[in-house]
Amino acid sequence: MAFSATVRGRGLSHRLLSVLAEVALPVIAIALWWVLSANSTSLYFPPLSKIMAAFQRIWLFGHFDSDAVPSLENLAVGLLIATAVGVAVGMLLGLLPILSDAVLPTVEFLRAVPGVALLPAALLLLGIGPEMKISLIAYGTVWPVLLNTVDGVRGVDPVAVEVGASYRLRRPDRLFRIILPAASPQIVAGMRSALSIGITVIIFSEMVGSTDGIGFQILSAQRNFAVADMWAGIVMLGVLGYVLNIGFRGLENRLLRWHRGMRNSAGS
Amino acid sequence: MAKANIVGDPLIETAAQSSRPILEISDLSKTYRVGDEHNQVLVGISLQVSRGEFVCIVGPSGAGKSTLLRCIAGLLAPSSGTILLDAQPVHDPPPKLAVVFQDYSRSLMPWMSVASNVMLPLRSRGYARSEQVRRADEALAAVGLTAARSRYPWQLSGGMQQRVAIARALAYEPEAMLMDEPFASVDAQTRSDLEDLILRVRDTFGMTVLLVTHDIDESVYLADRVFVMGGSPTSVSEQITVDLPSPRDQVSTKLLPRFSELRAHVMTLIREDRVNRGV
Repeated sequence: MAFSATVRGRGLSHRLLSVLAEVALPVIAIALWWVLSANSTSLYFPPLSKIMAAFQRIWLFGHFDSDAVPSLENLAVGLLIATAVGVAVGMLLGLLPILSDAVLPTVEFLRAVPGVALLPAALLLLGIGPEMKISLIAYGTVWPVLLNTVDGVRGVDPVAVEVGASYRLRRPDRLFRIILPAASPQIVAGMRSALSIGITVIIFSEMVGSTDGIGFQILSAQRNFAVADMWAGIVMLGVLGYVLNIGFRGLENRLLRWHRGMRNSAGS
Repeated sequence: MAKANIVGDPLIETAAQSSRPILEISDLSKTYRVGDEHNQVLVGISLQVSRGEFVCIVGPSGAGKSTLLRCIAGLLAPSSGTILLDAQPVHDPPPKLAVVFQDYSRSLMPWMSVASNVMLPLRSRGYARSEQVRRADEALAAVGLTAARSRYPWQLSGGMQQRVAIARALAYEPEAMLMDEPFASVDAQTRSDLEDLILRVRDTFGMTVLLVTHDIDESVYLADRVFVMGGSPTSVSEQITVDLPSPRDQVSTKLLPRFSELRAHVMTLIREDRVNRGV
Protein backbone atom coordinates (compact mmCIF):
# COMPACT_ATOMS: atom_id res chain seq x y z
CA MET A 1 0.00 0.00 0.00
CA ALA A 2 2.75 2.38 1.01
CA PHE A 3 4.58 1.51 -2.19
CA SER A 4 1.68 2.21 -4.50
CA ALA A 5 1.01 5.48 -2.69
CA THR A 6 4.54 6.72 -3.30
CA VAL A 7 4.40 5.70 -6.95
CA ARG A 8 1.14 7.52 -7.41
CA GLY A 9 2.44 10.55 -5.56
CA ARG A 10 5.47 10.68 -7.77
CA GLY A 11 3.34 10.24 -10.91
CA LEU A 12 1.15 13.13 -9.88
CA SER A 13 3.99 15.50 -9.08
CA HIS A 14 5.69 14.50 -12.33
CA ARG A 15 2.57 15.38 -14.29
CA LEU A 16 2.21 18.66 -12.43
CA LEU A 17 5.81 19.48 -13.25
CA SER A 18 5.37 18.74 -16.96
CA VAL A 19 2.21 20.89 -17.12
CA LEU A 20 4.10 23.71 -15.37
CA ALA A 21 6.98 23.38 -17.83
CA GLU A 22 4.57 23.57 -20.73
CA VAL A 23 2.78 26.63 -19.40
CA ALA A 24 5.82 28.55 -18.12
CA LEU A 25 7.14 29.97 -21.40
CA PRO A 26 3.80 31.28 -22.74
CA VAL A 27 2.99 32.86 -19.37
CA ILE A 28 6.37 34.59 -19.22
CA ALA A 29 6.07 35.76 -22.85
CA ILE A 30 2.58 37.19 -22.30
CA ALA A 31 3.62 38.87 -19.05
CA LEU A 32 6.62 40.46 -20.79
CA TRP A 33 4.43 41.58 -23.68
CA TRP A 34 1.93 43.04 -21.24
CA VAL A 35 4.55 44.96 -19.21
CA LEU A 36 6.71 46.16 -22.12
CA SER A 37 3.75 47.33 -24.20
CA ALA A 38 1.83 48.89 -21.29
CA ASN A 39 2.93 52.45 -22.02
CA SER A 40 3.32 52.00 -25.77
CA THR A 41 2.17 54.96 -27.83
CA SER A 42 3.20 53.33 -31.12
CA LEU A 43 0.37 53.20 -33.63
CA TYR A 44 1.47 49.72 -34.75
CA PHE A 45 2.12 48.12 -31.38
CA PRO A 46 -0.73 49.08 -29.08
CA PRO A 47 -0.63 47.95 -25.42
CA LEU A 48 -1.63 44.35 -24.94
CA SER A 49 -4.42 45.52 -22.65
CA LYS A 50 -6.01 47.31 -25.62
CA ILE A 51 -5.58 44.28 -27.85
CA MET A 52 -7.23 42.08 -25.24
CA ALA A 53 -10.07 44.56 -24.88
CA ALA A 54 -10.56 44.43 -28.65
CA PHE A 55 -10.30 40.65 -28.56
CA GLN A 56 -13.01 40.47 -25.95
CA ARG A 57 -15.25 42.92 -27.81
CA ILE A 58 -14.90 41.20 -31.22
CA TRP A 59 -14.37 37.52 -30.50
CA LEU A 60 -16.13 36.94 -27.13
CA PHE A 61 -18.51 36.63 -28.80
CA GLY A 62 -19.69 39.54 -30.94
CA HIS A 63 -18.23 38.37 -34.24
CA PHE A 64 -17.57 34.78 -33.29
CA ASP A 65 -20.74 33.46 -34.90
CA SER A 66 -20.52 35.67 -37.96
CA ASP A 67 -16.78 35.33 -38.66
CA ALA A 68 -15.06 32.51 -36.80
CA VAL A 69 -17.80 29.92 -37.27
CA PRO A 70 -17.96 30.19 -41.08
CA SER A 71 -14.15 29.95 -41.27
CA LEU A 72 -14.19 26.81 -39.18
CA GLU A 73 -17.09 25.32 -41.11
CA ASN A 74 -15.41 25.87 -44.45
CA LEU A 75 -12.17 24.48 -43.10
CA ALA A 76 -13.92 21.39 -41.73
CA VAL A 77 -15.86 20.68 -44.93
CA GLY A 78 -12.79 21.27 -47.11
CA LEU A 79 -10.63 18.96 -44.99
CA LEU A 80 -13.33 16.32 -44.92
CA ILE A 81 -13.56 16.31 -48.70
CA ALA A 82 -9.77 16.26 -49.05
CA THR A 83 -9.47 13.34 -46.63
CA ALA A 84 -12.22 11.31 -48.29
CA VAL A 85 -10.87 11.89 -51.81
CA GLY A 86 -7.23 11.62 -50.77
CA VAL A 87 -7.67 8.33 -48.92
CA ALA A 88 -9.90 6.77 -51.61
CA VAL A 89 -7.71 7.76 -54.55
CA GLY A 90 -4.53 7.12 -52.55
CA MET A 91 -5.59 3.55 -51.74
CA LEU A 92 -6.44 2.93 -55.38
CA LEU A 93 -3.07 4.27 -56.54
CA GLY A 94 -1.21 2.45 -53.78
CA LEU A 95 -2.77 -0.86 -54.76
CA LEU A 96 -2.49 -0.49 -58.54
CA PRO A 97 1.13 0.27 -59.51
CA ILE A 98 0.23 0.72 -63.19
CA LEU A 99 -2.37 3.33 -62.35
CA SER A 100 -0.01 5.16 -60.03
CA ASP A 101 2.72 5.15 -62.70
CA ALA A 102 0.22 6.84 -64.99
CA VAL A 103 -1.16 9.33 -62.49
CA LEU A 104 1.55 10.25 -59.97
CA PRO A 105 3.66 12.48 -62.25
CA THR A 106 0.57 14.58 -62.90
CA VAL A 107 -0.19 14.62 -59.19
CA GLU A 108 3.32 15.90 -58.51
CA PHE A 109 2.75 18.72 -60.98
CA LEU A 110 -0.64 19.70 -59.57
CA ARG A 111 0.71 19.56 -56.06
CA ALA A 112 3.47 21.97 -56.99
CA VAL A 113 0.85 24.64 -57.70
CA PRO A 114 0.03 26.07 -54.27
CA GLY A 115 -3.67 26.24 -53.50
CA VAL A 116 -3.48 29.98 -52.89
CA ALA A 117 -2.10 30.53 -56.41
CA LEU A 118 -5.40 29.33 -57.79
CA LEU A 119 -7.36 31.92 -55.83
CA PRO A 120 -7.81 34.38 -58.73
CA ALA A 121 -9.11 31.60 -60.95
CA ALA A 122 -11.33 30.27 -58.18
CA LEU A 123 -12.76 33.77 -57.66
CA LEU A 124 -13.65 33.99 -61.34
CA LEU A 125 -15.18 30.55 -61.53
CA LEU A 126 -16.86 30.22 -58.16
CA GLY A 127 -17.30 33.76 -56.79
CA ILE A 128 -16.67 34.68 -53.15
CA GLY A 129 -19.06 32.25 -51.48
CA PRO A 130 -18.21 29.28 -49.30
CA GLU A 131 -18.04 26.99 -52.37
CA MET A 132 -14.95 28.82 -53.55
CA LYS A 133 -13.22 28.56 -50.16
CA ILE A 134 -14.15 24.95 -49.64
CA SER A 135 -12.91 24.01 -53.13
CA LEU A 136 -9.67 25.85 -52.58
CA ILE A 137 -9.10 24.21 -49.19
CA ALA A 138 -9.93 20.79 -50.57
CA TYR A 139 -7.56 21.35 -53.49
CA GLY A 140 -4.76 22.63 -51.28
CA THR A 141 -4.99 19.87 -48.70
CA VAL A 142 -5.79 16.79 -50.76
CA TRP A 143 -2.18 16.22 -51.85
CA PRO A 144 -0.49 15.43 -48.55
CA VAL A 145 -3.35 13.07 -47.67
CA LEU A 146 -3.25 11.39 -51.07
CA LEU A 147 0.51 10.97 -51.31
CA ASN A 148 0.83 9.77 -47.72
CA THR A 149 -1.95 7.25 -48.33
CA VAL A 150 -0.11 5.92 -51.41
CA ASP A 151 3.08 5.58 -49.35
CA GLY A 152 1.23 4.00 -46.46
CA VAL A 153 -0.54 1.46 -48.65
CA ARG A 154 2.69 0.55 -50.47
CA GLY A 155 4.41 0.12 -47.15
CA VAL A 156 1.92 -2.39 -45.71
CA ASP A 157 3.80 -5.40 -44.40
CA PRO A 158 3.64 -8.20 -47.01
CA VAL A 159 3.15 -10.72 -44.18
CA ALA A 160 -0.10 -8.98 -43.17
CA VAL A 161 -1.23 -9.14 -46.81
CA GLU A 162 -0.35 -12.84 -46.96
CA VAL A 163 -2.37 -13.48 -43.80
CA GLY A 164 -5.33 -11.86 -45.54
CA ALA A 165 -4.78 -14.03 -48.62
CA SER A 166 -4.17 -17.34 -46.85
CA TYR A 167 -7.25 -16.94 -44.64
CA ARG A 168 -9.28 -16.01 -47.69
CA LEU A 169 -10.50 -12.68 -46.34
CA ARG A 170 -13.13 -10.96 -48.43
CA ARG A 171 -11.92 -7.94 -50.36
CA PRO A 172 -13.65 -5.35 -48.11
CA ASP A 173 -12.11 -6.98 -45.04
CA ARG A 174 -8.66 -6.93 -46.65
CA LEU A 175 -9.08 -3.25 -47.56
CA PHE A 176 -10.65 -1.93 -44.39
CA ARG A 177 -9.35 -4.31 -41.72
CA ILE A 178 -5.79 -4.79 -42.93
CA ILE A 179 -4.59 -2.27 -45.50
CA LEU A 180 -6.36 0.87 -44.27
CA PRO A 181 -5.43 0.44 -40.59
CA ALA A 182 -1.88 -0.55 -41.52
CA ALA A 183 -1.57 2.65 -43.57
CA SER A 184 -3.34 4.81 -41.00
CA PRO A 185 -0.25 6.19 -39.21
CA GLN A 186 0.93 7.70 -42.47
CA ILE A 187 -2.55 8.83 -43.46
CA VAL A 188 -2.91 10.67 -40.16
CA ALA A 189 0.49 12.30 -40.67
CA GLY A 190 -0.79 13.51 -44.05
CA MET A 191 -3.92 14.88 -42.40
CA ARG A 192 -1.76 16.77 -39.94
CA SER A 193 0.02 18.62 -42.76
CA ALA A 194 -3.35 19.10 -44.46
CA LEU A 195 -4.67 20.86 -41.36
CA SER A 196 -1.90 23.45 -41.30
CA ILE A 197 -2.14 24.01 -45.08
CA GLY A 198 -5.91 24.32 -44.70
CA ILE A 199 -5.62 27.07 -42.08
CA THR A 200 -3.30 29.05 -44.37
CA VAL A 201 -5.61 28.66 -47.36
CA ILE A 202 -8.78 29.61 -45.48
CA ILE A 203 -7.27 32.80 -44.02
CA PHE A 204 -5.78 33.82 -47.33
CA SER A 205 -8.98 33.22 -49.26
CA GLU A 206 -10.89 35.27 -46.69
CA MET A 207 -8.44 38.13 -46.95
CA VAL A 208 -8.68 38.32 -50.71
CA GLY A 209 -12.16 37.27 -51.64
CA SER A 210 -14.67 37.39 -48.84
CA THR A 211 -17.12 39.43 -46.81
CA ASP A 212 -16.73 37.47 -43.62
CA GLY A 213 -14.28 35.23 -41.77
CA ILE A 214 -11.31 35.78 -39.50
CA GLY A 215 -9.03 36.65 -42.41
CA PHE A 216 -11.52 39.24 -43.61
CA GLN A 217 -11.75 40.74 -40.11
CA ILE A 218 -7.97 41.03 -39.79
CA LEU A 219 -7.50 42.69 -43.16
CA SER A 220 -10.43 45.08 -42.86
CA ALA A 221 -9.27 46.13 -39.38
CA GLN A 222 -5.83 46.87 -40.83
CA ARG A 223 -7.35 48.92 -43.67
CA ASN A 224 -9.35 50.96 -41.15
CA PHE A 225 -6.24 51.56 -39.03
CA ALA A 226 -7.95 49.66 -36.20
CA VAL A 227 -4.58 48.19 -35.29
CA ALA A 228 -5.67 46.74 -31.95
CA ASP A 229 -8.54 44.96 -33.75
CA MET A 230 -6.06 43.59 -36.29
CA TRP A 231 -3.83 42.18 -33.55
CA ALA A 232 -6.90 40.80 -31.80
CA GLY A 233 -7.76 38.89 -34.99
CA ILE A 234 -4.23 37.54 -35.20
CA VAL A 235 -4.39 36.43 -31.55
CA MET A 236 -7.71 34.75 -32.34
CA LEU A 237 -6.04 32.86 -35.19
CA GLY A 238 -3.27 31.72 -32.90
CA VAL A 239 -5.73 30.51 -30.31
CA LEU A 240 -7.83 28.69 -32.90
CA GLY A 241 -4.79 27.07 -34.48
CA TYR A 242 -3.64 25.89 -31.07
CA VAL A 243 -7.06 24.50 -30.15
CA LEU A 244 -7.38 22.75 -33.52
CA ASN A 245 -3.98 21.15 -33.02
CA ILE A 246 -4.93 19.89 -29.58
CA GLY A 247 -8.16 18.52 -31.02
CA PHE A 248 -6.24 16.80 -33.78
CA ARG A 249 -3.79 15.33 -31.31
CA GLY A 250 -6.74 13.91 -29.39
CA LEU A 251 -8.09 12.32 -32.56
CA GLU A 252 -4.66 10.95 -33.37
CA ASN A 253 -4.27 9.45 -29.91
CA ARG A 254 -7.59 7.69 -30.29
CA LEU A 255 -6.99 6.41 -33.81
CA LEU A 256 -3.38 5.40 -33.34
CA ARG A 257 -3.36 4.20 -29.76
CA TRP A 258 -2.27 0.76 -31.00
CA HIS A 259 0.60 2.28 -32.96
CA ARG A 260 2.03 4.16 -30.01
CA GLY A 261 1.56 1.16 -27.75
CA MET A 262 3.28 -1.13 -30.23
CA ARG A 263 6.25 1.21 -30.61
CA ASN A 264 6.58 1.62 -26.86
CA SER A 265 6.48 -2.12 -26.28
CA ALA A 266 9.04 -2.72 -29.03
CA GLY A 267 11.37 -0.19 -27.45
CA SER A 268 11.20 -1.71 -24.00
CA MET B 1 -16.01 -33.33 -26.52
CA ALA B 2 -17.14 -29.78 -27.10
CA LYS B 3 -13.82 -29.06 -28.75
CA ALA B 4 -14.21 -31.76 -31.37
CA ASN B 5 -16.94 -29.92 -33.26
CA ILE B 6 -14.60 -27.02 -33.94
CA VAL B 7 -13.21 -29.04 -36.83
CA GLY B 8 -16.58 -30.50 -37.74
CA ASP B 9 -16.30 -34.08 -36.52
CA PRO B 10 -12.88 -35.09 -37.82
CA LEU B 11 -13.32 -38.73 -36.86
CA ILE B 12 -16.14 -39.34 -39.30
CA GLU B 13 -14.37 -37.51 -42.11
CA THR B 14 -11.16 -39.39 -41.43
CA ALA B 15 -12.93 -42.72 -41.60
CA ALA B 16 -14.65 -41.87 -44.86
CA GLN B 17 -11.65 -40.51 -46.74
CA SER B 18 -8.71 -42.16 -45.05
CA SER B 19 -7.75 -44.06 -48.17
CA ARG B 20 -6.52 -40.97 -49.96
CA PRO B 21 -3.66 -38.77 -48.67
CA ILE B 22 -4.77 -35.28 -47.72
CA LEU B 23 -1.77 -33.73 -49.46
CA GLU B 24 -0.15 -35.05 -52.63
CA ILE B 25 2.74 -33.19 -54.22
CA SER B 26 4.19 -34.54 -57.44
CA ASP B 27 7.32 -33.39 -59.21
CA LEU B 28 7.14 -29.84 -57.95
CA SER B 29 9.79 -27.37 -59.07
CA LYS B 30 10.22 -23.70 -58.41
CA THR B 31 12.47 -21.35 -60.30
CA TYR B 32 12.78 -17.67 -59.44
CA ARG B 33 13.49 -15.41 -62.34
CA VAL B 34 15.35 -12.22 -61.57
CA GLY B 35 16.01 -10.40 -64.84
CA ASP B 36 17.84 -12.91 -67.05
CA GLU B 37 18.97 -15.04 -64.14
CA HIS B 38 17.15 -18.24 -63.37
CA ASN B 39 17.52 -19.42 -59.84
CA GLN B 40 16.15 -22.90 -59.39
CA VAL B 41 15.25 -23.39 -55.74
CA LEU B 42 13.21 -26.58 -55.66
CA VAL B 43 13.37 -29.52 -58.05
CA GLY B 44 11.36 -32.72 -58.39
CA ILE B 45 9.68 -32.62 -54.99
CA SER B 46 7.20 -35.44 -54.51
CA LEU B 47 5.63 -36.24 -51.18
CA GLN B 48 2.40 -37.40 -49.64
CA VAL B 49 0.90 -36.63 -46.27
CA SER B 50 -1.81 -38.79 -44.73
CA ARG B 51 -4.82 -37.42 -42.96
CA GLY B 52 -4.07 -36.68 -39.31
CA GLU B 53 -0.34 -37.08 -39.76
CA PHE B 54 2.24 -34.74 -38.20
CA VAL B 55 4.96 -34.13 -40.76
CA CYS B 56 8.09 -32.05 -40.34
CA ILE B 57 10.15 -30.72 -43.20
CA VAL B 58 13.69 -30.16 -42.02
CA GLY B 59 16.63 -28.76 -43.88
CA PRO B 60 19.32 -26.13 -43.69
CA SER B 61 18.46 -22.44 -43.75
CA GLY B 62 17.99 -21.08 -47.24
CA ALA B 63 17.13 -24.51 -48.68
CA GLY B 64 13.73 -23.38 -49.93
CA LYS B 65 11.63 -24.95 -47.18
CA SER B 66 9.55 -21.82 -46.84
CA THR B 67 9.16 -21.64 -50.61
CA LEU B 68 7.69 -25.15 -50.59
CA LEU B 69 5.34 -24.24 -47.76
CA ARG B 70 4.21 -21.10 -49.56
CA CYS B 71 3.47 -23.16 -52.68
CA ILE B 72 1.36 -25.59 -50.63
CA ALA B 73 -0.44 -22.63 -49.01
CA GLY B 74 -1.37 -21.34 -52.45
CA LEU B 75 0.54 -18.11 -51.87
CA LEU B 76 3.13 -18.88 -54.53
CA ALA B 77 2.68 -20.64 -57.86
CA PRO B 78 5.11 -23.53 -58.52
CA SER B 79 7.01 -23.43 -61.82
CA SER B 80 5.97 -27.00 -62.58
CA GLY B 81 4.38 -29.97 -60.88
CA THR B 82 1.09 -30.34 -59.06
CA ILE B 83 -0.16 -29.96 -55.53
CA LEU B 84 -3.39 -31.71 -54.56
CA LEU B 85 -5.05 -30.92 -51.26
CA ASP B 86 -7.98 -33.19 -50.57
CA ALA B 87 -7.77 -34.23 -54.25
CA GLN B 88 -8.25 -30.60 -55.33
CA PRO B 89 -5.44 -28.85 -57.22
CA VAL B 90 -4.08 -25.86 -55.27
CA HIS B 91 -4.08 -22.65 -57.29
CA ASP B 92 -4.94 -20.13 -54.60
CA PRO B 93 -5.15 -20.46 -50.81
CA PRO B 94 -7.35 -23.48 -50.05
CA PRO B 95 -10.24 -23.01 -47.62
CA LYS B 96 -9.31 -26.07 -45.55
CA LEU B 97 -5.82 -24.88 -44.81
CA ALA B 98 -4.56 -22.56 -42.09
CA VAL B 99 -1.07 -21.06 -42.00
CA VAL B 100 0.90 -20.11 -38.89
CA PHE B 101 3.65 -17.75 -39.96
CA GLN B 102 7.08 -17.54 -38.42
CA ASP B 103 6.99 -13.94 -37.35
CA TYR B 104 4.01 -13.51 -35.05
CA SER B 105 4.73 -9.80 -34.56
CA ARG B 106 4.00 -9.31 -38.26
CA SER B 107 1.26 -11.88 -38.79
CA LEU B 108 -1.00 -10.55 -36.01
CA MET B 109 -2.72 -7.24 -36.62
CA PRO B 110 -1.50 -4.81 -33.93
CA TRP B 111 -4.61 -2.61 -34.29
CA MET B 112 -6.91 -5.45 -33.26
CA SER B 113 -7.45 -7.11 -29.92
CA VAL B 114 -6.47 -10.74 -29.51
CA ALA B 115 -10.09 -11.85 -29.94
CA SER B 116 -10.58 -9.69 -33.06
CA ASN B 117 -7.45 -11.18 -34.58
CA VAL B 118 -8.82 -14.67 -34.05
CA MET B 119 -12.26 -13.66 -35.39
CA LEU B 120 -10.96 -11.88 -38.50
CA PRO B 121 -11.07 -14.93 -40.80
CA LEU B 122 -14.42 -16.02 -39.33
CA ARG B 123 -15.94 -12.64 -40.06
CA SER B 124 -14.94 -13.00 -43.70
CA ARG B 125 -16.60 -16.40 -43.76
CA GLY B 126 -19.87 -14.69 -42.93
CA TYR B 127 -20.45 -16.25 -39.51
CA ALA B 128 -22.82 -14.39 -37.21
CA ARG B 129 -21.11 -12.31 -34.58
CA SER B 130 -22.17 -14.63 -31.74
CA GLU B 131 -20.76 -17.60 -33.63
CA GLN B 132 -17.47 -15.78 -34.24
CA VAL B 133 -17.20 -15.02 -30.53
CA ARG B 134 -18.02 -18.60 -29.55
CA ARG B 135 -15.42 -20.10 -31.87
CA ALA B 136 -12.77 -17.56 -30.92
CA ASP B 137 -13.38 -18.23 -27.22
CA GLU B 138 -13.04 -21.98 -27.78
CA ALA B 139 -9.84 -21.58 -29.74
CA LEU B 140 -8.35 -19.19 -27.18
CA ALA B 141 -9.28 -21.59 -24.40
CA ALA B 142 -7.51 -24.39 -26.28
CA VAL B 143 -4.25 -22.43 -26.22
CA GLY B 144 -4.80 -21.17 -22.67
CA LEU B 145 -5.32 -17.52 -23.53
CA THR B 146 -8.89 -16.88 -22.41
CA ALA B 147 -7.76 -14.15 -20.05
CA ALA B 148 -5.94 -12.25 -22.81
CA ARG B 149 -8.85 -11.99 -25.22
CA SER B 150 -9.31 -8.24 -25.02
CA ARG B 151 -5.66 -7.30 -24.88
CA TYR B 152 -3.56 -6.24 -27.84
CA PRO B 153 -0.95 -8.64 -29.29
CA TRP B 154 1.90 -6.27 -28.52
CA GLN B 155 0.96 -6.36 -24.85
CA LEU B 156 1.78 -10.08 -24.78
CA SER B 157 5.04 -12.03 -24.70
CA GLY B 158 6.36 -13.61 -27.89
CA GLY B 159 5.21 -17.09 -26.91
CA MET B 160 1.72 -15.82 -26.11
CA GLN B 161 1.55 -14.00 -29.45
CA GLN B 162 2.39 -17.17 -31.32
CA ARG B 163 -0.35 -18.92 -29.31
CA VAL B 164 -2.77 -16.27 -30.55
CA ALA B 165 -1.68 -17.07 -34.11
CA ILE B 166 -2.27 -20.77 -33.40
CA ALA B 167 -5.71 -19.96 -31.96
CA ARG B 168 -6.52 -18.02 -35.11
CA ALA B 169 -5.60 -21.08 -37.15
CA LEU B 170 -7.67 -23.41 -34.92
CA ALA B 171 -10.76 -21.19 -35.02
CA TYR B 172 -10.56 -21.37 -38.81
CA GLU B 173 -11.30 -25.11 -38.50
CA PRO B 174 -8.70 -26.28 -40.96
CA GLU B 175 -8.16 -29.88 -41.94
CA ALA B 176 -4.49 -29.15 -42.28
CA MET B 177 -2.26 -26.63 -40.59
CA LEU B 178 0.94 -25.33 -42.16
CA MET B 179 3.54 -23.92 -39.81
CA ASP B 180 6.57 -22.02 -41.07
CA GLU B 181 9.34 -22.14 -38.43
CA PRO B 182 6.68 -21.22 -35.88
CA PHE B 183 8.91 -21.42 -32.81
CA ALA B 184 12.09 -19.94 -34.26
CA SER B 185 11.81 -16.57 -32.53
CA VAL B 186 10.98 -17.56 -28.95
CA ASP B 187 13.27 -18.60 -26.10
CA ALA B 188 14.09 -22.25 -25.45
CA GLN B 189 11.70 -22.83 -22.55
CA THR B 190 8.77 -21.22 -24.39
CA ARG B 191 9.74 -23.22 -27.42
CA SER B 192 9.34 -26.60 -25.74
CA ASP B 193 6.07 -25.42 -24.15
CA LEU B 194 4.77 -24.46 -27.59
CA GLU B 195 5.93 -27.77 -29.08
CA ASP B 196 3.89 -29.64 -26.48
CA LEU B 197 0.96 -27.30 -27.00
CA ILE B 198 0.88 -28.02 -30.72
CA LEU B 199 1.09 -31.80 -30.12
CA ARG B 200 -1.80 -31.57 -27.65
CA VAL B 201 -3.89 -29.39 -29.95
CA ARG B 202 -3.27 -31.73 -32.85
CA ASP B 203 -4.52 -34.68 -30.77
CA THR B 204 -7.60 -32.76 -29.60
CA PHE B 205 -8.56 -31.46 -33.00
CA GLY B 206 -7.34 -34.41 -35.03
CA MET B 207 -5.88 -32.37 -37.82
CA THR B 208 -2.96 -32.77 -40.16
CA VAL B 209 0.10 -30.66 -39.37
CA LEU B 210 2.94 -29.84 -41.72
CA LEU B 211 5.71 -27.98 -39.93
CA VAL B 212 8.83 -26.52 -41.47
CA THR B 213 11.89 -26.19 -39.25
CA HIS B 214 15.67 -26.07 -39.35
CA ASP B 215 15.84 -27.57 -35.86
CA ILE B 216 16.61 -31.30 -36.10
CA ASP B 217 15.62 -32.13 -32.50
CA GLU B 218 12.33 -30.36 -32.94
CA SER B 219 11.53 -32.24 -36.14
CA VAL B 220 12.23 -35.64 -34.59
CA TYR B 221 10.42 -34.79 -31.36
CA LEU B 222 7.26 -33.59 -33.06
CA ALA B 223 6.80 -35.60 -36.20
CA ASP B 224 5.31 -38.89 -37.25
CA ARG B 225 7.40 -38.53 -40.36
CA VAL B 226 10.34 -36.26 -41.20
CA PHE B 227 11.19 -35.16 -44.73
CA VAL B 228 14.85 -34.15 -44.96
CA MET B 229 15.53 -31.60 -47.67
CA GLY B 230 18.88 -31.20 -49.33
CA GLY B 231 20.84 -30.73 -52.52
CA SER B 232 21.08 -27.72 -54.74
CA PRO B 233 18.48 -27.10 -56.09
CA THR B 234 16.68 -28.61 -53.14
CA SER B 235 14.75 -31.84 -53.22
CA VAL B 236 13.60 -34.38 -50.65
CA SER B 237 16.72 -36.40 -49.84
CA GLU B 238 15.06 -38.85 -47.47
CA GLN B 239 11.89 -39.46 -45.56
CA ILE B 240 12.11 -40.97 -42.13
CA THR B 241 9.31 -42.55 -40.15
CA VAL B 242 9.64 -41.55 -36.52
CA ASP B 243 8.76 -44.66 -34.54
CA LEU B 244 8.77 -43.03 -31.14
CA PRO B 245 5.94 -43.74 -28.71
CA SER B 246 3.14 -41.25 -28.22
CA PRO B 247 2.42 -39.11 -26.31
CA ARG B 248 5.83 -37.52 -26.54
CA ASP B 249 7.51 -36.03 -23.50
CA GLN B 250 10.23 -33.39 -23.50
CA VAL B 251 12.33 -35.37 -21.01
CA SER B 252 11.56 -39.05 -21.40
CA THR B 253 11.18 -39.10 -25.19
CA LYS B 254 14.46 -37.29 -25.66
CA LEU B 255 16.19 -39.81 -23.34
CA LEU B 256 15.21 -42.74 -25.56
CA PRO B 257 18.11 -44.30 -27.50
CA ARG B 258 15.85 -44.32 -30.56
CA PHE B 259 15.48 -40.54 -30.34
CA SER B 260 19.28 -40.14 -30.40
CA GLU B 261 19.55 -42.56 -33.34
CA LEU B 262 16.95 -40.71 -35.41
CA ARG B 263 18.43 -37.38 -34.50
CA ALA B 264 21.94 -38.55 -35.43
CA HIS B 265 20.61 -39.94 -38.71
CA VAL B 266 18.98 -36.66 -39.73
CA MET B 267 22.01 -34.71 -38.62
CA THR B 268 24.32 -36.92 -40.72
CA LEU B 269 22.14 -36.43 -43.78
CA ILE B 270 22.22 -32.67 -43.39
CA ARG B 271 25.96 -32.61 -42.73
CA GLU B 272 26.72 -34.74 -45.80
CA ASP B 273 24.54 -32.43 -47.83
CA ARG B 274 26.49 -29.42 -46.62
CA VAL B 275 29.76 -31.11 -47.59
CA ASN B 276 28.42 -32.04 -51.03
CA ARG B 277 27.27 -28.52 -51.67
CA GLY B 278 30.61 -27.19 -50.47
CA VAL B 279 29.01 -24.93 -47.88
